Order: sequence, then structure tokens, then C-alpha cells
Amino acid sequence: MLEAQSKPKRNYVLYILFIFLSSLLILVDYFSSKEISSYIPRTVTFEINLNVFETTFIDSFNSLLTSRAELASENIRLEQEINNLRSLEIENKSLKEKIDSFENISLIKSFNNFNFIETSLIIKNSSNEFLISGGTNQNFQNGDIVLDERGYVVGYLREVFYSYSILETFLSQSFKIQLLDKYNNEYLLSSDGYQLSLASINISTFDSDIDFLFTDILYNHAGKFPVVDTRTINFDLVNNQINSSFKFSNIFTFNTKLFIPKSK
Amino acid sequence: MKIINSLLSLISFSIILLFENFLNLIISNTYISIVPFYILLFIFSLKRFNNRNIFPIMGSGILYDIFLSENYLGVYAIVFLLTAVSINYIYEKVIDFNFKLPFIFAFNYLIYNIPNILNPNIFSIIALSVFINYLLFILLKRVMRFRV
Repeated sequence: MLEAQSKPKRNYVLYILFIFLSSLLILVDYFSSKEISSYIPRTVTFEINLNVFETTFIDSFNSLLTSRAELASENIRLEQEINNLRSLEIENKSLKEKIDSFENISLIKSFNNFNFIETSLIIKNSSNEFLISGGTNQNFQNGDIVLDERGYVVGYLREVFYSYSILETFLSQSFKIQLLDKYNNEYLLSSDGYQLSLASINISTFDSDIDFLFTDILYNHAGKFPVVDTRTINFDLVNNQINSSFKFSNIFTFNTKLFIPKSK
Repeated sequence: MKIINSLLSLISFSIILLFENFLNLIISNTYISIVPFYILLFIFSLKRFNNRNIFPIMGSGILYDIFLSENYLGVYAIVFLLTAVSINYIYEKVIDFNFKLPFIFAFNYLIYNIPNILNPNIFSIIALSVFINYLLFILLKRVMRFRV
């Protein structure tokens, strides 16, 4: 009877011991500046090399192309390829239109100075941070800004590993970014995970027609890209200070395409 | 054999944890989270609470810290172990009262979300999720026909 009663307590003791062990791991990781926790993600690659498969497949495919029937099937394949090329041409046109719209939004007159590396969402963790594809293998760095399809900044890279990175967005509580307006007034945009707070840091010349708040190379960003459209929020100057809070909509879906601008 | 069992448990726990994060990316809603890993933890802590679960729970927490979060190594291991202990302790030690199980579920869901506790809107964010996930737990309970 007594044994049966004391059994759960023994279980708790071992659980508590392992909780202490985990605390020890936190301490070690803290004093090693996250060297332990980031060692594996920085070195291990999750990319699958498909070249071997493709080569063997093409080889075996070529060896089969001997009969007349197979030539006919190749003709069908070529026809399909032409159709695909046509659809690619249409897609190319629409992408060019998108580039034009980017130029209108971001006021950057030449996109030739940037490489836009496309990336995509992999997963969302419980702290509302996103894991995106691409890391040091694509020359991503901590602090790189991330744009959506419209050219607006949606976040920045908090941590970069070998083949994936952690993206900090408006949805994250620790999101903070410094911005400029067209009169070079400085702002701090932060999030509590629910709404965004905008606070001025330094106001020199203010006018109500600032329209957009931008990232800037001053803060080690890749360039001048829009973050907030101030025409859609309440925005007043009181005692030479600006403090404003506003809600945002969650734009992230499974299919969201993201781009990381890199200066050439 | 014990090692193989523990490794299989670790792999299945980690897959469910990965699935949880993937599912929440698809849902893309701030107020709704589906947490199959928490439901699994809840069931294991109520029905199969023993020392064999420590390795898979702690292991999946450590894997989560390494690959899916930017926290220090061991943060989620502690969260998961603490949640498991708390669920079992309250269920075993606290006297029975009406809505004991929903209370345990909601209270420990808060512990499960400790890394986000500083969010001022945490209660409004998790309220709907607790309700939905408790319904899922009830559904699973009926399908699996276990008595809690």
C-alpha cells in the first residue's frame, strides 16, 4: 500500500532532476553564447541533392529511346515543353509588371542594384517566429530584411543557420526595427505580438505628408524599402513626439512568397 | 529493447511536435492554435506517467530548441517536463471538483505557453485555443475509449 503511494513521488523526483539538468544546459548555452544550440543547425544541411537521381533517370530514359513509338512520345513531350515555355513567357511578363509596381512603391528607381533572393516559409514555431528556407548557403546574414510580394518589409532575420533562418515578423513579441521617413526623422517600430507601436526617436522636420516609413542603410538594412503606410494609421505630433499604436493583419499563409534583397 | 522503445517514442514525439508547428503555419491565425503535442503530453501524463517518458519528452524539447526556436538549449525541455509533472501532480493530488479536467487542461496550457507569457494579450490569445484543443482531446478520448 505504502509502496503504491510513494511510487508517483519517485517519478516526480526524476522529472525534477531532469528539469535541473535542462537548467544546467541553459546555463552552459548562455555562457557559450549559444554556440552549443546553434552548432548543429549551422553545420547540418537539409538540402537533398537530386543530381544523381536526375542523371540516372536521364541515362535510363535515353537508353529506352530506340523505337518509333518512343520518338512519337518524345514529340508529345517537346510539344508540352513548348506549352510550358509559353506559360513561362506569360509569367515573365507578369513578373516584369510586378517589378514596375515595386519601383512605384519603394521609390527605388533601379532594382538592378539588388539581387532579390526568393525564399519561402517552412514552419511557424510557438513564439510566432517563422522558419524560412535559405541560410548561410545563400549568403543570408543576421538582420537582413525580408520583403513580401508587394515590396513591403515584413520582418528581418533574427538567426541564420546553414540552410534555414529564423524570421522575426510583426507577429513576434520581440520585433523591433528602426525606420526613417522622407524628412529623415527617426522612428522605432515594435510589436507586442498583437499590435504595433510606433515611437519617434528623433524628430527634426515634421510634415503630415510623410506617407511611408522606410528602412535605411543607416541601420545596416539593404536599402530603402517601405514598412508602414502612415496614411492608413492615426499619426499625430504631440510635444515633438509621436506615439501611435495600430493593429496589423496576418499576411502570412502557407503560400506566402518572400524576398531578401541583397546589394550587388 | 528499452533503448529502441525510447528512441521510437522520441521520434514519434518529435514528428508530432513538428506536425504541430506545420499545422499552425497552415492555420495562420493568431487566436487559434491546434496543439497535438500538448494533447499527447496531456494523455501521457494522465494515463502513462512514468520515468520512461522523460527521455522522449526532454529529447523532443531539446530538438525543438536546436532546430525550431532561437531560445537557449533546454528551455522547451524544461517547459515540456514541467507541463507533464504539473498535469500529473494536479490530477493525482488535488481533490476532485467539477470541471477538474478542463481546469487542468487550461492551467497547464498556460504553462506550455510560458515562453510567450510576457505577451499582454496572452489570455485572450489562448482562450479560444484551449477550448478547441480540449474539444479535440474529448474527441480523441472517445475514439480511443480511455477513461480519464
